[in-house]
Amino acid sequence: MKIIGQRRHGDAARRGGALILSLVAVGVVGVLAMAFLQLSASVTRRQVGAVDTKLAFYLAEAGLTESYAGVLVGRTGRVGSETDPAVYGEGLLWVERDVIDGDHIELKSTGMAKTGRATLGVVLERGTPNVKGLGVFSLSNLIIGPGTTVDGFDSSVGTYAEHLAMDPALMELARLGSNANVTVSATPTDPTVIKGDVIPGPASSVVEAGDPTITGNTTNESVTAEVFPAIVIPTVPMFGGVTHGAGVPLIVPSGSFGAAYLHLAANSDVTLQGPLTLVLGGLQLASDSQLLFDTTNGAINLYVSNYLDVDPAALLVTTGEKANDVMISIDGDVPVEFESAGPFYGMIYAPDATVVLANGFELFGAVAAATLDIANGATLHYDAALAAIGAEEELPKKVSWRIVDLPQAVPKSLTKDPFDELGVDPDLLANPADAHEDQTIHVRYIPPAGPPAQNYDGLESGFNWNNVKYLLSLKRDGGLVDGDLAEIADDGGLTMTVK
Amino acid sequence: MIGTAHKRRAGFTLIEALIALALLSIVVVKITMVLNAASKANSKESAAMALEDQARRVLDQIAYAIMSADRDALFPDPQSPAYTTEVDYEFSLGVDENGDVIWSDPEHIGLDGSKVVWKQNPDMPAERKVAWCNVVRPFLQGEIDNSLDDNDNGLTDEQGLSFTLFKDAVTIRLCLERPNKDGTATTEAVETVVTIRN
Repeated sequence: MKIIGQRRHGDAARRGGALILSLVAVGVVGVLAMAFLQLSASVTRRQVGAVDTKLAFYLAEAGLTESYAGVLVGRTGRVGSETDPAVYGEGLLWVERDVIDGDHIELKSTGMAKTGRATLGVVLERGTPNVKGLGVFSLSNLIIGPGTTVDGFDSSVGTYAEHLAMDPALMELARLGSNANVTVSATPTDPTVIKGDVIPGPASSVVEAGDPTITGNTTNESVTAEVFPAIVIPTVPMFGGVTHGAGVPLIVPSGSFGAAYLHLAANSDVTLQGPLTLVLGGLQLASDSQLLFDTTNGAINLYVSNYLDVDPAALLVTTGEKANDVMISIDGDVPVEFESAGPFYGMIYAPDATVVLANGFELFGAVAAATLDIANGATLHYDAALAAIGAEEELPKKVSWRIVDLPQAVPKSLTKDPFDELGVDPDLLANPADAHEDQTIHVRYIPPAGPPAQNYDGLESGFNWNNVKYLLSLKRDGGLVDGDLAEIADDGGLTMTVK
Repeated sequence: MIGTAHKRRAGFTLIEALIALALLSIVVVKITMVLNAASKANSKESAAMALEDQARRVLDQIAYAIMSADRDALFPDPQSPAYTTEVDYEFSLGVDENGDVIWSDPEHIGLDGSKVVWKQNPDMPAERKVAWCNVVRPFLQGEIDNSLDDNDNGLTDEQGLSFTLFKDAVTIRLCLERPNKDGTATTEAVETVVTIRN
């Protein structure tokens, strides 16, 4: 009994407020921790939201890139849709297409990643069709007279003289062609040398007379004839005709304008200063006159409509050595004969006219005409850089890029799923490369087993590209994709461009 | 005899109380020091996080504006080590029915003292102005006003906001600094490179 009493006294003596104090301390620390957690949670949400917005932004850019790559090969530009988007990484994307006019489309790409969303837009302008890659080309029979020399060089690598000094084998870049037959003539006293390819038209051939030297290919595997784009003469302020006599040289300044005609009297000099777009009703160069194309500050585009008379003793001279800097476009059936010594660095384009390159004319560049007659003794040097330049000019150009929508709201939840929001299953979605809009295609190809060639007309989704060993031609919705012979690589890769 | 023993053990002696008080004081001081240090670290980290968050948001705003700008109308081509602290630009709003690009009203981003200021229609009657942040450091982190490239980034005496252009890439550098109550300062520097897409 006494022991129990003693114990009770001991319990009472040991009673204290330590637990209460501990609880208070823990409570204070807990409140501080909660406050810190809330602050960092809100900052985290904002940072994560910014990161997700960036992810969505990059997804939208990826969509634009995929769409643009599709447009380059004749696709519509639509990739997926809001109800059936493409899956990419942790997010999804789709691209819509709006037609603005005949030459412009707008692609709008939307990317969604977690809590982020972004929509970007790009406007594409149709590329400019051209014939720069054709080299020396005639729509009708191409006639090459004896004593003609045709070779090539690449002005993006070096000048013609530098090519000669490096290795004559580098000069075998000539490219002559026709939609019909090509006749190449030579004589023992006037040998003809062509260092490069001579390509006849479909179902046509190269006729060699007198044992000319041709170092390149003379066959054509394509079934597609070349089509010349029409010349679109720009609208510029027009002035009256100008006749310039001998004496003080006439300087035509840079700009864009035109005249009813430009006549150079005998022994007169006229300099065209680039960058210049000049539209002339007619152009006449009398004996010993000189027309100088000064491309020091920019390119010169000369359009001639009614007549182009160049006296055999007149000179067409260029200051630069890049053929892409001078373009003479002859609109209409205007007979033209170039006989001046030159040298002339530039391109001559006459889709409806007959062009004669007479003895003594030296051209560095390219020439394409409805009918082309290369007379005895002409010297042509094809600038192979024109092919790459021409191909690039034919590609659709990006005119405008903009951010259509970039919401910056701070998300309330860190676990938002765009797939749930759209009601789609990521496992059932295609990747962007496989999500392009389906199109009608016409394919002519050679299967792995070999000839004969096969044709397919129908939706691209129903076509098995594994059945193609050699692609002869491809059209998407009526638009011809490059019809040159193209081999499908073992990994299925294929590079094409749209014409 | 037993009752007397109980009466003798009730209470504490003065020495016991003093010792207990001293021990308690030591413990409380220790706890207070720990709490204080934790609180300071928390404040410092929070301030750094908030400042970095602000710097990144402002940098993103500037970057998105630069991306959409017209390259030819942005500003002259400064090459390293030159730079500019302001840009004037117009961004694309799309194209009209003829395919011609529609450009926005002119806008300006630049420093005004320690503020990053965005202006629409600068120096015009319809000018609108917004300060995106107001704690920009006078010079970029590691840089002082001595006509030298102190931080080896190819720029000389660059200020807290700087733009450098190389071809179509624009490097945007932003450095914010906020003073703390204890006299120190929290500094955050951010940088990004964007490509002008028009």
